[in-house]
Amino acid sequence: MAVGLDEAFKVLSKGIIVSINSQKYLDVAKFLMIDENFDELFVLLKKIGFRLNGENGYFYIAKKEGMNDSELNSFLNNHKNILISIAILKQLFPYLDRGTILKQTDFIVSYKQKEDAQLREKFEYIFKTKDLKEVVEKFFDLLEKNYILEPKSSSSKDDYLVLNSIEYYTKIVQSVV
Amino acid sequence: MKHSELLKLIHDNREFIDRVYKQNYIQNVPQELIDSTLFVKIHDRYKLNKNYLNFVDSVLQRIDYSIIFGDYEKEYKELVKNKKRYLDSGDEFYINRMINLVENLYIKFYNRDREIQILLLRLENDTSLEIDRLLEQASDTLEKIDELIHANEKIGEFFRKGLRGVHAEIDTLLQSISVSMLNFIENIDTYISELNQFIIQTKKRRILNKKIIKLSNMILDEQVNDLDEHLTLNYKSLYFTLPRSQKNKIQIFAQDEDISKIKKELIKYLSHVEIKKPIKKSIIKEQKHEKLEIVNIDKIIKELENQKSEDIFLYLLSHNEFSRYEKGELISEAFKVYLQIITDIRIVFGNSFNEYDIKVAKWQ
Repeated sequence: MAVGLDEAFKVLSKGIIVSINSQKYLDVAKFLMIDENFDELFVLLKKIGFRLNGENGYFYIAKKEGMNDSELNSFLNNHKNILISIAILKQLFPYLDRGTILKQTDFIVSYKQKEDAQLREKFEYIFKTKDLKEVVEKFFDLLEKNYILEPKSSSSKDDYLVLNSIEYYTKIVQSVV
Repeated sequence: MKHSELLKLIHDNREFIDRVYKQNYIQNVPQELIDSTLFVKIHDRYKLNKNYLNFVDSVLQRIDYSIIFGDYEKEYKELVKNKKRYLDSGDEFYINRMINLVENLYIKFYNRDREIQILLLRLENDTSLEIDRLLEQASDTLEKIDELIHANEKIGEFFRKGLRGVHAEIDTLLQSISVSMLNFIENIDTYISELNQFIIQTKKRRILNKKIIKLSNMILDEQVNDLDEHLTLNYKSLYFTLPRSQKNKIQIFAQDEDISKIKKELIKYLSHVEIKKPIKKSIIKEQKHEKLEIVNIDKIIKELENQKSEDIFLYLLSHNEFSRYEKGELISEAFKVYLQIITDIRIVFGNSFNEYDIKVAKWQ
Protein backbone atom coordinates (compact mmCIF):
# COMPACT_ATOMS: atom_id res chain seq x y z
CA MET A 1 0.00 0.00 0.00
CA ALA A 2 1.38 3.39 -0.98
CA VAL A 3 2.04 5.67 1.95
CA GLY A 4 0.14 8.95 2.05
CA LEU A 5 -0.20 11.74 4.56
CA ASP A 6 -2.72 9.75 6.58
CA GLU A 7 -0.44 6.73 6.94
CA ALA A 8 2.57 8.91 7.81
CA PHE A 9 0.50 10.74 10.42
CA LYS A 10 -0.82 7.46 11.81
CA VAL A 11 2.71 6.19 12.38
CA LEU A 12 4.19 9.42 13.73
CA SER A 13 1.22 10.10 15.99
CA LYS A 14 1.95 6.86 17.81
CA GLY A 15 5.12 8.54 19.06
CA ILE A 16 7.35 6.63 16.66
CA ILE A 17 10.71 8.03 15.61
CA VAL A 18 10.97 7.04 11.96
CA SER A 19 14.57 6.38 10.95
CA ILE A 20 15.46 6.19 7.29
CA ASN A 21 17.52 3.04 7.91
CA SER A 22 14.52 1.29 9.46
CA GLN A 23 13.15 -1.62 7.45
CA LYS A 24 9.87 -1.52 9.35
CA TYR A 25 9.06 2.11 8.52
CA LEU A 26 11.01 2.36 5.28
CA ASP A 27 7.93 3.40 3.27
CA VAL A 28 7.01 6.17 5.69
CA ALA A 29 10.61 7.38 5.75
CA LYS A 30 10.76 7.42 1.96
CA PHE A 31 7.49 9.37 1.85
CA LEU A 32 8.75 11.96 4.35
CA MET A 33 12.06 12.34 2.56
CA ILE A 34 10.21 14.04 -0.28
CA ASP A 35 10.23 17.75 0.59
CA GLU A 36 6.66 18.41 -0.62
CA ASN A 37 5.26 15.62 1.55
CA PHE A 38 7.25 16.73 4.57
CA ASP A 39 6.13 20.35 4.15
CA GLU A 40 2.48 19.37 3.72
CA LEU A 41 2.46 17.25 6.87
CA PHE A 42 4.45 19.93 8.71
CA VAL A 43 1.70 22.50 8.00
CA LEU A 44 -1.09 20.10 8.97
CA LEU A 45 0.57 19.11 12.24
CA LYS A 46 1.32 22.72 13.07
CA LYS A 47 -2.42 23.46 12.87
CA ILE A 48 -3.17 20.88 15.56
CA GLY A 49 -0.36 21.87 17.89
CA PHE A 50 2.51 19.61 16.89
CA ARG A 51 5.79 20.14 15.15
CA LEU A 52 7.21 17.70 12.61
CA ASN A 53 10.98 17.34 12.92
CA GLY A 54 13.14 15.83 10.24
CA GLU A 55 16.86 15.79 10.80
CA ASN A 56 19.96 13.63 10.37
CA GLY A 57 18.04 10.69 8.94
CA TYR A 58 15.03 10.47 11.25
CA PHE A 59 11.58 12.02 11.72
CA TYR A 60 9.48 12.58 14.83
CA ILE A 61 6.73 14.73 16.26
CA ALA A 62 7.23 17.31 19.01
CA LYS A 63 4.46 18.97 20.97
CA LYS A 64 4.26 22.74 20.73
CA GLU A 65 2.11 23.23 23.80
CA GLY A 66 3.46 22.99 27.31
CA MET A 67 3.15 19.65 29.03
CA ASN A 68 1.22 18.96 32.18
CA ASP A 69 3.03 17.50 35.17
CA SER A 70 2.46 13.84 34.37
CA GLU A 71 3.49 14.32 30.73
CA LEU A 72 6.61 16.21 31.76
CA ASN A 73 7.52 13.58 34.29
CA SER A 74 7.12 10.80 31.76
CA PHE A 75 9.02 12.83 29.15
CA LEU A 76 12.00 13.38 31.47
CA ASN A 77 12.11 9.82 32.83
CA ASN A 78 11.87 8.25 29.42
CA HIS A 79 14.75 10.36 28.12
CA LYS A 80 16.87 9.50 31.17
CA ASN A 81 16.25 5.77 30.80
CA ILE A 82 17.19 5.83 27.13
CA LEU A 83 20.28 7.97 27.75
CA ILE A 84 21.45 5.45 30.37
CA SER A 85 20.68 2.56 28.01
CA ILE A 86 22.79 4.18 25.29
CA ALA A 87 25.58 4.69 27.83
CA ILE A 88 25.44 0.94 28.59
CA LEU A 89 25.68 0.16 24.87
CA LYS A 90 28.58 2.57 24.41
CA GLN A 91 30.39 1.19 27.44
CA LEU A 92 30.18 -2.32 25.99
CA PHE A 93 30.54 -1.40 22.31
CA PRO A 94 32.49 1.87 21.96
CA TYR A 95 32.17 1.82 18.16
CA LEU A 96 28.43 1.28 18.12
CA ASP A 97 26.72 3.80 15.89
CA ARG A 98 23.79 4.14 13.50
CA GLY A 99 23.78 1.16 11.16
CA THR A 100 25.71 -1.15 13.50
CA ILE A 101 24.40 -4.71 13.78
CA LEU A 102 24.22 -5.70 17.41
CA LYS A 103 23.78 -9.30 18.55
CA GLN A 104 22.06 -10.02 21.86
CA THR A 105 24.52 -12.84 22.47
CA ASP A 106 27.50 -10.51 21.89
CA PHE A 107 25.89 -8.13 24.35
CA ILE A 108 25.82 -10.85 27.02
CA VAL A 109 29.37 -12.02 26.21
CA SER A 110 30.67 -8.46 26.39
CA TYR A 111 28.74 -7.71 29.57
CA LYS A 112 30.15 -10.78 31.27
CA GLN A 113 33.67 -9.78 30.20
CA LYS A 114 33.45 -6.14 31.26
CA GLU A 115 30.93 -6.39 34.06
CA ASP A 116 31.61 -3.67 36.59
CA ALA A 117 29.77 -1.82 39.33
CA GLN A 118 28.88 1.07 37.01
CA LEU A 119 27.12 -1.20 34.52
CA ARG A 120 25.18 -2.97 37.26
CA GLU A 121 24.17 0.39 38.72
CA LYS A 122 22.85 1.55 35.36
CA PHE A 123 20.73 -1.56 34.92
CA GLU A 124 19.40 -1.13 38.42
CA TYR A 125 18.42 2.48 37.69
CA ILE A 126 16.31 1.45 34.70
CA PHE A 127 14.95 -1.93 35.73
CA LYS A 128 15.29 -1.88 39.54
CA THR A 129 17.29 -5.11 39.36
CA LYS A 130 20.91 -6.00 38.58
CA ASP A 131 20.22 -9.57 37.55
CA LEU A 132 21.48 -9.99 34.00
CA LYS A 133 19.11 -12.91 33.47
CA GLU A 134 16.16 -10.62 34.04
CA VAL A 135 17.35 -7.51 32.26
CA VAL A 136 18.70 -8.54 28.86
CA GLU A 137 15.33 -9.18 27.26
CA LYS A 138 13.84 -6.10 28.92
CA PHE A 139 16.81 -3.99 27.82
CA PHE A 140 16.46 -4.90 24.16
CA ASP A 141 12.71 -4.55 24.44
CA LEU A 142 13.08 -1.03 25.86
CA LEU A 143 15.41 0.04 23.07
CA GLU A 144 13.17 -1.54 20.45
CA LYS A 145 10.06 0.15 21.81
CA ASN A 146 11.89 3.46 21.77
CA TYR A 147 13.01 3.00 18.17
CA ILE A 148 16.76 2.85 18.86
CA LEU A 149 17.03 -0.81 17.86
CA GLU A 150 15.08 -2.84 15.34
CA PRO A 151 15.23 -6.62 14.81
CA LYS A 152 17.34 -7.13 11.70
CA SER A 153 15.14 -9.83 10.23
CA SER A 154 12.51 -12.27 11.32
CA SER A 155 14.80 -15.21 10.51
CA SER A 156 17.48 -14.25 13.04
CA LYS A 157 16.33 -13.68 16.61
CA ASP A 158 19.75 -12.44 17.62
CA ASP A 159 20.52 -9.49 15.32
CA TYR A 160 19.42 -5.93 15.92
CA LEU A 161 20.06 -2.90 13.74
CA VAL A 162 21.00 0.39 15.41
CA LEU A 163 18.67 3.01 13.96
CA ASN A 164 19.57 6.57 12.99
CA SER A 165 17.47 7.86 15.86
CA ILE A 166 20.33 7.10 18.26
CA GLU A 167 21.70 10.44 17.13
CA TYR A 168 18.66 12.21 18.59
CA TYR A 169 19.93 11.22 22.03
CA THR A 170 23.62 11.85 21.36
CA LYS A 171 22.65 15.36 20.28
CA ILE A 172 21.05 15.90 23.69
CA VAL A 173 24.29 14.67 25.31
CA GLN A 174 26.31 17.15 23.24
CA SER A 175 24.02 19.97 24.37
CA VAL A 176 24.09 19.13 28.06
CA VAL A 177 27.64 17.90 28.83
CA MET B 1 63.88 -28.58 -3.95
CA LYS B 2 61.98 -27.63 -7.07
CA HIS B 3 59.14 -25.09 -6.97
CA SER B 4 56.63 -27.76 -7.99
CA GLU B 5 57.88 -29.98 -5.13
CA LEU B 6 57.47 -27.13 -2.66
CA LEU B 7 53.89 -26.59 -3.88
CA LYS B 8 53.18 -30.31 -3.44
CA LEU B 9 54.68 -30.28 0.06
CA ILE B 10 52.45 -27.36 1.05
CA HIS B 11 49.43 -29.03 -0.54
CA ASP B 12 50.06 -32.35 1.21
CA ASN B 13 50.41 -30.62 4.57
CA ARG B 14 47.77 -27.93 4.02
CA GLU B 15 45.63 -28.82 7.05
CA PHE B 16 48.60 -28.92 9.39
CA ILE B 17 50.01 -25.62 8.05
CA ASP B 18 46.57 -23.99 8.27
CA ARG B 19 46.23 -25.08 11.90
CA VAL B 20 49.59 -23.53 12.80
CA TYR B 21 48.72 -20.39 10.81
CA LYS B 22 45.62 -20.00 13.00
CA GLN B 23 47.17 -20.90 16.35
CA ASN B 24 50.51 -19.16 15.74
CA TYR B 25 52.84 -21.91 17.02
CA ILE B 26 53.12 -25.68 17.58
CA GLN B 27 55.29 -28.07 19.56
CA ASN B 28 55.99 -30.78 16.94
CA VAL B 29 56.48 -30.47 13.18
CA PRO B 30 57.18 -33.19 10.55
CA GLN B 31 60.86 -33.24 9.60
CA GLU B 32 60.26 -32.52 5.88
CA LEU B 33 58.53 -29.22 6.78
CA ILE B 34 61.44 -28.23 9.03
CA ASP B 35 63.91 -29.09 6.24
CA SER B 36 61.95 -26.94 3.80
CA THR B 37 62.45 -23.96 6.20
CA LEU B 38 58.70 -23.36 6.20
CA PHE B 39 58.97 -23.74 9.98
CA VAL B 40 61.51 -22.16 12.29
CA LYS B 41 62.19 -23.29 15.85
CA ILE B 42 62.06 -20.52 18.48
CA HIS B 43 62.66 -21.60 22.08
CA ASP B 44 60.91 -24.92 22.41
CA ARG B 45 58.23 -24.43 19.77
CA TYR B 46 57.90 -24.00 16.02
CA LYS B 47 56.51 -21.02 14.17
CA LEU B 48 55.79 -20.52 10.49
CA ASN B 49 58.59 -18.75 8.67
CA LYS B 50 57.99 -14.97 8.58
CA ASN B 51 58.72 -14.93 4.82
CA TYR B 52 55.90 -17.40 4.23
CA LEU B 53 53.57 -15.42 6.53
CA ASN B 54 54.39 -12.16 4.74
CA PHE B 55 53.51 -13.73 1.41
CA VAL B 56 50.29 -15.32 2.69
CA ASP B 57 49.14 -12.21 4.57
CA SER B 58 49.80 -10.06 1.53
CA VAL B 59 47.82 -12.36 -0.79
CA LEU B 60 45.00 -12.74 1.76
CA GLN B 61 45.04 -9.01 2.45
CA ARG B 62 45.78 -9.43 6.14
CA ILE B 63 48.08 -6.65 7.14
CA ASP B 64 49.23 -6.30 10.69
CA TYR B 65 49.49 -2.86 12.32
CA SER B 66 53.12 -3.62 13.11
CA ILE B 67 54.07 -3.69 9.41
CA ILE B 68 57.27 -1.77 8.62
CA PHE B 69 57.21 -0.09 5.22
CA GLY B 70 60.90 0.78 5.04
CA ASP B 71 62.44 2.77 2.20
CA TYR B 72 63.97 1.90 -1.15
CA GLU B 73 67.54 2.95 -0.36
CA LYS B 74 69.20 -0.41 -1.09
CA GLU B 75 67.64 -0.72 -4.55
CA TYR B 76 68.34 2.95 -5.25
CA LYS B 77 72.04 2.64 -4.38
CA GLU B 78 72.33 -0.54 -6.49
CA LEU B 79 70.69 1.23 -9.44
CA VAL B 80 73.07 4.21 -9.19
CA LYS B 81 76.05 1.85 -8.97
CA ASN B 82 74.95 -0.25 -11.96
CA LYS B 83 74.17 2.81 -14.05
CA LYS B 84 77.68 4.18 -13.43
CA ARG B 85 79.27 0.81 -14.29
CA TYR B 86 77.25 0.56 -17.51
CA LEU B 87 78.14 4.09 -18.57
CA ASP B 88 81.81 3.39 -17.80
CA SER B 89 81.99 -0.04 -19.46
CA GLY B 90 79.05 -0.20 -21.90
CA ASP B 91 78.54 -3.79 -20.73
CA GLU B 92 74.94 -4.98 -21.45
CA PHE B 93 75.14 -7.18 -18.32
CA TYR B 94 74.34 -4.10 -16.21
CA ILE B 95 71.21 -3.37 -18.24
CA ASN B 96 69.59 -6.62 -17.10
CA ARG B 97 70.60 -5.87 -13.50
CA MET B 98 69.01 -2.42 -13.75
CA ILE B 99 65.82 -3.81 -15.35
CA ASN B 100 65.49 -6.32 -12.50
CA LEU B 101 66.00 -3.59 -9.91
CA VAL B 102 63.40 -1.30 -11.56
CA GLU B 103 60.92 -4.18 -11.68
CA ASN B 104 61.59 -5.01 -8.01
CA LEU B 105 61.04 -1.38 -7.06
CA TYR B 106 57.81 -1.31 -9.06
CA ILE B 107 56.55 -4.44 -7.25
CA LYS B 108 57.52 -2.85 -3.92
CA PHE B 109 55.52 0.27 -4.80
CA TYR B 110 52.59 -1.87 -5.91
CA ASN B 111 52.62 -3.95 -2.71
CA ARG B 112 53.07 -0.91 -0.50
CA ASP B 113 50.10 0.84 -2.09
CA ARG B 114 47.97 -2.24 -1.56
CA GLU B 115 49.19 -2.72 2.01
CA ILE B 116 48.33 0.87 2.93
CA GLN B 117 44.86 0.52 1.43
CA ILE B 118 44.24 -2.67 3.44
CA LEU B 119 45.65 -1.10 6.60
CA LEU B 120 43.33 1.90 6.28
CA LEU B 121 40.38 -0.38 5.69
CA ARG B 122 41.32 -2.42 8.73
CA LEU B 123 41.65 0.68 10.91
CA GLU B 124 38.29 1.99 9.75
CA ASN B 125 36.55 -1.30 10.52
CA ASP B 126 38.39 -2.38 13.62
CA THR B 127 36.06 -2.63 16.59
CA SER B 128 38.15 -5.05 18.60
CA LEU B 129 40.56 -2.48 20.02
CA GLU B 130 39.85 0.10 22.69
CA ILE B 131 39.46 3.51 21.07
CA ASP B 132 42.67 4.83 22.66
CA ARG B 133 44.67 1.87 21.28
CA LEU B 134 43.11 2.34 17.84
CA LEU B 135 44.10 6.00 17.84
CA GLU B 136 47.66 5.00 18.71
CA GLN B 137 47.74 2.56 15.79
CA ALA B 138 46.30 5.18 13.45
CA SER B 139 48.89 7.78 14.51
CA ASP B 140 51.72 5.24 14.08
CA THR B 141 50.43 4.35 10.61
CA LEU B 142 50.23 8.01 9.70
CA GLU B 143 53.84 8.46 10.76
CA LYS B 144 54.93 5.47 8.66
CA ILE B 145 53.07 6.72 5.57
CA ASP B 146 54.47 10.21 6.12
CA GLU B 147 57.98 8.80 6.01
CA LEU B 148 57.24 7.26 2.62
CA ILE B 149 56.62 10.62 0.94
CA HIS B 150 60.28 11.50 0.64
CA ALA B 151 61.36 7.96 -0.31
CA ASN B 152 58.66 7.75 -3.01
CA GLU B 153 59.49 11.10 -4.51
CA LYS B 154 63.20 10.28 -4.60
CA ILE B 155 62.56 7.12 -6.66
CA GLY B 156 59.97 8.88 -8.84
CA GLU B 157 62.46 11.62 -9.65
CA PHE B 158 65.20 9.08 -10.39
CA PHE B 159 62.90 7.15 -12.75
CA ARG B 160 61.84 10.35 -14.54
CA LYS B 161 65.27 11.93 -14.90
CA GLY B 162 68.18 9.89 -13.49
CA LEU B 163 67.55 6.70 -15.49
CA ARG B 164 66.08 8.14 -18.68
CA GLY B 165 68.26 7.94 -21.81
CA VAL B 166 70.61 5.33 -20.33
CA HIS B 167 69.31 2.53 -22.56
CA ALA B 168 66.28 2.12 -24.86
CA GLU B 169 65.10 -1.05 -23.08
CA ILE B 170 65.09 0.73 -19.71
CA ASP B 171 63.28 3.71 -21.24
CA THR B 172 60.52 1.41 -22.58
CA LEU B 173 60.09 -0.19 -19.18
CA LEU B 174 60.04 3.17 -17.38
CA GLN B 175 57.50 4.49 -19.89
CA SER B 176 55.18 1.54 -19.38
CA ILE B 177 55.14 1.86 -15.58
CA SER B 178 55.23 5.67 -15.40
CA VAL B 179 51.45 6.22 -15.02
CA SER B 180 51.08 3.59 -12.29
CA MET B 181 54.16 4.89 -10.47
CA LEU B 182 52.73 8.40 -10.54
CA ASN B 183 49.46 7.07 -9.11
CA PHE B 184 51.26 5.23 -6.32
CA ILE B 185 53.12 8.42 -5.39
CA GLU B 186 50.02 10.62 -5.56
CA ASN B 187 47.93 8.10 -3.61
CA ILE B 188 50.07 8.76 -0.54
CA ASP B 189 48.55 12.25 -0.17
CA THR B 190 45.04 10.78 -0.38
CA TYR B 191 45.88 8.14 2.23
CA ILE B 192 47.31 10.76 4.59
CA SER B 193 44.22 12.91 4.23
CA GLU B 194 41.93 9.88 4.77
CA LEU B 195 43.88 8.85 7.83
CA ASN B 196 43.81 12.36 9.28
CA GLN B 197 40.06 12.43 8.75
CA PHE B 198 39.72 9.03 10.43
CA ILE B 199 41.78 10.19 13.43
CA ILE B 200 39.62 13.31 13.82
CA GLN B 201 36.39 11.26 13.61
CA THR B 202 37.67 8.68 16.09
CA LYS B 203 38.72 11.39 18.53
CA LYS B 204 35.24 12.90 18.22
CA ARG B 205 33.74 9.47 18.88
CA ARG B 206 35.95 9.08 21.96
CA ILE B 207 34.86 12.47 23.30
CA LEU B 208 31.19 11.69 22.64
CA ASN B 209 31.43 8.30 24.36
CA LYS B 210 33.01 9.93 27.41
CA LYS B 211 30.24 12.52 27.46
CA ILE B 212 27.53 9.84 27.25
CA ILE B 213 29.06 7.91 30.13
CA LYS B 214 29.49 11.13 32.12
CA LEU B 215 25.85 12.16 31.60
CA SER B 216 24.59 8.70 32.56
CA ASN B 217 26.65 8.85 35.76
CA MET B 218 25.21 12.30 36.47
CA ILE B 219 21.70 10.84 36.11
CA LEU B 220 22.58 8.03 38.50
CA ASP B 221 23.95 10.58 40.99
CA GLU B 222 20.77 12.63 40.53
CA GLN B 223 22.71 15.60 39.20
CA VAL B 224 20.04 16.17 36.60
CA ASN B 225 19.42 19.91 36.78
CA ASP B 226 21.18 20.68 33.49
CA LEU B 227 19.52 17.80 31.68
CA ASP B 228 16.06 18.60 33.05
CA GLU B 229 16.53 22.25 32.17
CA HIS B 230 17.63 21.43 28.63
CA LEU B 231 14.75 19.02 28.05
CA THR B 232 12.16 21.33 29.61
CA LEU B 233 13.34 24.41 27.76
CA ASN B 234 13.58 22.66 24.41
CA TYR B 235 10.51 20.46 24.61
CA LYS B 236 9.04 22.19 21.55
CA SER B 237 11.64 20.60 19.32
CA LEU B 238 12.07 17.33 21.22
CA TYR B 239 10.48 13.99 20.71
CA PHE B 240 7.19 13.93 22.56
CA THR B 241 6.80 10.81 24.63
CA LEU B 242 3.95 9.44 26.65
CA PRO B 243 3.96 6.43 28.93
CA ARG B 244 2.84 3.10 27.46
CA SER B 245 -0.24 3.05 29.69
CA GLN B 246 -1.71 5.75 27.47
CA LYS B 247 -1.66 3.34 24.56
CA ASN B 248 1.29 5.02 22.96
CA LYS B 249 -0.87 7.66 21.29
CA ILE B 250 -0.17 11.34 21.02
CA GLN B 251 -2.95 13.26 22.67
CA ILE B 252 -3.64 16.53 24.42
CA PHE B 253 -5.20 16.52 27.89
CA ALA B 254 -8.12 18.83 28.55
CA GLN B 255 -7.54 21.71 30.93
CA ASP B 256 -9.29 21.57 34.34
CA GLU B 257 -11.61 24.49 33.52
CA ASP B 258 -12.75 22.74 30.31
CA ILE B 259 -13.56 19.58 32.26
CA SER B 260 -15.68 21.46 34.83
CA LYS B 261 -17.52 23.27 31.98
CA ILE B 262 -18.35 19.92 30.34
CA LYS B 263 -19.37 18.49 33.70
CA LYS B 264 -21.81 21.36 34.30
CA GLU B 265 -23.32 20.98 30.83
CA LEU B 266 -23.70 17.24 31.22
CA ILE B 267 -25.42 17.60 34.61
CA LYS B 268 -27.80 20.14 33.02
CA TYR B 269 -28.79 17.77 30.20
CA LEU B 270 -28.77 14.52 32.08
CA SER B 271 -30.76 15.73 35.10
CA HIS B 272 -34.03 15.19 33.09
CA VAL B 273 -33.16 11.72 32.04
CA GLU B 274 -34.66 8.88 34.02
CA ILE B 275 -32.42 5.95 34.30
CA LYS B 276 -33.74 2.57 35.29
CA LYS B 277 -31.38 0.63 37.37
CA PRO B 278 -30.37 -2.42 35.42
CA ILE B 279 -31.21 -5.71 37.07
CA LYS B 280 -28.05 -7.51 37.75
CA LYS B 281 -27.99 -11.01 36.41
CA SER B 282 -24.78 -12.48 37.48
CA ILE B 283 -23.70 -15.66 35.88
CA ILE B 284 -21.49 -17.77 37.96
CA LYS B 285 -18.82 -19.25 35.81
CA GLU B 286 -17.39 -22.57 36.58
CA GLN B 287 -13.82 -22.25 37.68
CA LYS B 288 -11.43 -23.68 35.15
CA HIS B 289 -8.10 -25.19 35.90
CA GLU B 290 -5.54 -23.41 33.75
CA LYS B 291 -2.34 -25.14 33.00
CA LEU B 292 0.53 -22.66 32.98
CA GLU B 293 2.91 -23.18 30.11
CA ILE B 294 6.18 -22.37 31.72
CA VAL B 295 9.50 -23.81 30.66
CA ASN B 296 11.39 -25.17 33.63
CA ILE B 297 14.78 -23.49 33.22
CA ASP B 298 16.19 -24.88 36.46
CA LYS B 299 15.46 -28.39 35.25
CA ILE B 300 17.20 -27.69 31.91
CA ILE B 301 20.23 -26.20 33.67
CA LYS B 302 20.50 -29.27 35.91
CA GLU B 303 20.44 -31.51 32.85
CA LEU B 304 23.00 -29.33 31.11
CA GLU B 305 25.30 -29.64 34.11
CA ASN B 306 25.33 -33.39 33.55
CA GLN B 307 25.08 -33.64 29.78
CA LYS B 308 27.31 -30.66 28.84
CA SER B 309 25.85 -29.96 25.40
CA GLU B 310 28.20 -28.65 22.67
CA ASP B 311 25.54 -26.21 21.40
CA ILE B 312 23.02 -25.11 23.99
CA PHE B 313 20.59 -23.59 21.49
CA LEU B 314 20.35 -26.81 19.46
CA TYR B 315 20.00 -28.73 22.72
CA LEU B 316 17.04 -26.55 23.72
CA LEU B 317 15.34 -27.00 20.33
CA SER B 318 15.23 -30.73 20.82
CA HIS B 319 14.42 -30.61 24.54
CA ASN B 320 11.04 -32.05 25.59
CA GLU B 321 10.22 -28.84 27.53
CA PHE B 322 9.74 -27.24 24.10
CA SER B 323 7.88 -30.11 22.45
CA ARG B 324 4.54 -28.27 22.65
CA TYR B 325 5.73 -25.39 20.43
CA GLU B 326 5.29 -25.16 16.67
CA LYS B 327 8.43 -24.45 14.62
CA GLY B 328 8.26 -20.62 14.45
CA GLU B 329 7.32 -20.27 18.10
CA LEU B 330 9.81 -22.96 19.07
CA ILE B 331 12.83 -20.95 17.83
CA SER B 332 11.61 -17.79 19.48
CA GLU B 333 10.84 -19.47 22.85
CA ALA B 334 14.08 -21.47 22.79
CA PHE B 335 16.02 -18.29 22.07
CA LYS B 336 14.46 -16.54 25.06
CA VAL B 337 15.51 -19.39 27.35
CA TYR B 338 18.92 -19.56 25.63
CA LEU B 339 19.49 -15.86 26.45
CA GLN B 340 18.74 -16.54 30.10
CA ILE B 341 20.94 -19.61 30.30
CA ILE B 342 23.98 -17.97 28.70
CA THR B 343 24.09 -15.36 31.43
CA ASP B 344 25.40 -18.13 33.68
CA ILE B 345 29.13 -17.79 34.41
CA ARG B 346 29.74 -21.44 33.54
CA ILE B 347 28.89 -20.84 29.88
CA VAL B 348 31.70 -20.82 27.33
CA PHE B 349 31.18 -19.16 23.96
CA GLY B 350 32.65 -20.46 20.72
CA ASN B 351 33.56 -18.24 17.79
CA SER B 352 31.14 -19.93 15.41
CA PHE B 353 27.42 -19.58 14.79
CA ASN B 354 24.99 -22.41 14.24
CA GLU B 355 22.54 -22.84 11.35
CA TYR B 356 20.11 -20.46 13.12
CA ASP B 357 22.83 -17.78 13.09
CA ILE B 358 23.05 -17.99 16.88
CA LYS B 359 26.37 -17.98 18.71
CA VAL B 360 27.45 -21.46 19.76
CA ALA B 361 27.56 -21.64 23.55
CA LYS B 362 28.36 -24.68 25.63
CA TRP B 363 28.39 -25.67 29.27
CA GLN B 364 31.89 -25.57 30.78
